Amino acid sequence: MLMTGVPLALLFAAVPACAWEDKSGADMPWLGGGGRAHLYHQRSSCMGCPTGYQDEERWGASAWSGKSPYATVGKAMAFLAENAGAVRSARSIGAGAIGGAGGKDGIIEPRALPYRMTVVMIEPTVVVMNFDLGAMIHEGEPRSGQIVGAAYIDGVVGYGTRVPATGSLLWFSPEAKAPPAPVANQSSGKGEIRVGGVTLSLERGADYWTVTRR
Amino acid sequence: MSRHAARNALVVILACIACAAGAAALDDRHAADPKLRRFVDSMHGETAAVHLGRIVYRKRWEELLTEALYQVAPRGSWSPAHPAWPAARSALADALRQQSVTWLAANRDEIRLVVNEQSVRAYTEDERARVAEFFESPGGRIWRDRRELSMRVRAYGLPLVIETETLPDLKRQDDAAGKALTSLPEEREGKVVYDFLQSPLGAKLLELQNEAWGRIVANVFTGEIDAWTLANKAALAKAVRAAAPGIPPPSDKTYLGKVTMDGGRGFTVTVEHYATLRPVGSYALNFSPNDLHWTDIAAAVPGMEPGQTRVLYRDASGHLGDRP
Repeated sequence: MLMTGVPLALLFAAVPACAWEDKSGADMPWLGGGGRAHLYHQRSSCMGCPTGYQDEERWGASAWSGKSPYATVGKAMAFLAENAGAVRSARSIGAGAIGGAGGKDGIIEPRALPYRMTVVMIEPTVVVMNFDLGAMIHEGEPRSGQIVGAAYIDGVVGYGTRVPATGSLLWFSPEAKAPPAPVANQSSGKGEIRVGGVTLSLERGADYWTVTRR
Repeated sequence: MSRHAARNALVVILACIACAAGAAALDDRHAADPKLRRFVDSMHGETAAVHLGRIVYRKRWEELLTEALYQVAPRGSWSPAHPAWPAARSALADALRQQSVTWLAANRDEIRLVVNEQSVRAYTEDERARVAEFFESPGGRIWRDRRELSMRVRAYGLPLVIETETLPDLKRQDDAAGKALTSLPEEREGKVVYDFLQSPLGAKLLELQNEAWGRIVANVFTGEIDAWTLANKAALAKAVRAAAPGIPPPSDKTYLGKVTMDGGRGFTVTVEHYATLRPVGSYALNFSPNDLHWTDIAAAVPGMEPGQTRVLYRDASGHLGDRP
């Protein structure tokens, strides 16, 4: 019984461990529950796919608890679109409308925003927006690394705990139903975000704000 | 190094780069068709396609020269009113035209492919034979030669050809060819030309040449010269600076657009978008003094007063300022 049970248990335990690979970058966002998020990647066979396989990504404490970064960012950008408030945006000149990805009447018209956006925490999601006119024209936009695309904006959303210090900061959180608002005390060089019992401290350096979870 | 020597050196360097790139052989399945060859050659089809392409390309040429000069020194630091602009533009035009000639020499097959494919698509074999007969007639030849000269006059100074004649010389030749055409006997060669041009066959020919050949050649060339200009940006800038002293210094910053301050100290920012050496569009944003981002703009334009307009630049770290 013991001889059969142990290998079986090992087999079932080993399969998922082999399937999901930890691909976390050097600077992952904070987790609401504590610590840093991890990014997991899995490539699995797919009969219906032209390539014969499909890639999946999840982020969170583990692959089992995590969501796709694309889903997290998509949900955040949809929330931003509905709760723009004083956030400046314009219909993007360069990006065409996207059908079948959500939005009003099933159509998303990507917006050009004078902000770079960084997911600094997940579960709950907290996005910090730094004012940057260059973002409207893709100037200085990272093309690879810790970025996620989003249909709602003509650009990419970054993730991590470093936010470019290019101008005033706003933040928002879809899960906390917190619409975009200025980061408190930012003029002192030490900002603060309180969400769902978690406090994020932001400290300004020469070119970046560093976000720390307290 | 004199301006002339600098320009010549650039032309040689650029020609070497272009030749090294070479041109891939094209698969033109119509190339061996003798009837199609007769149709195209009787009207000097390739030559017409090149000149028409040049004429269509004119607007983009002017735009390319302007945008490429703003790669040498940023917008806001100079403009067509700057004393160094005309010489810089002339040096840039010379370099790009030389490159265009090199490109055409290496890609004649591509022009022929466009001409062949569009001709086969537009005409039946019988129609092509009738058109060839017209161009082989005395009247047809005179009309073709006159049209070719008129196209060369209209395309004078544009890329793909570097003329050896002066424009006045070319105009004189064009006038003489015009006289030869109007002197054709009305009841014989003149009538042949008139009847052909009034026929559906003649109308279709003009449409084929102007709408298909000219536009496609201009399109193909646009992509090629845009890519080449961007790839050789540094060498071009160096040569233009050598040929036109007084150009403002280069900048690592990106020109974003302009900001104006209204009577209530509110800012209107116009962000201009350029991509692949062409304007894409612009965004207008207003910031009243109680806006969170008013201070971001104000910090970038110290001392700005109502009624003033300034230029905005962004450095590599994303900081905003009004100095290039």
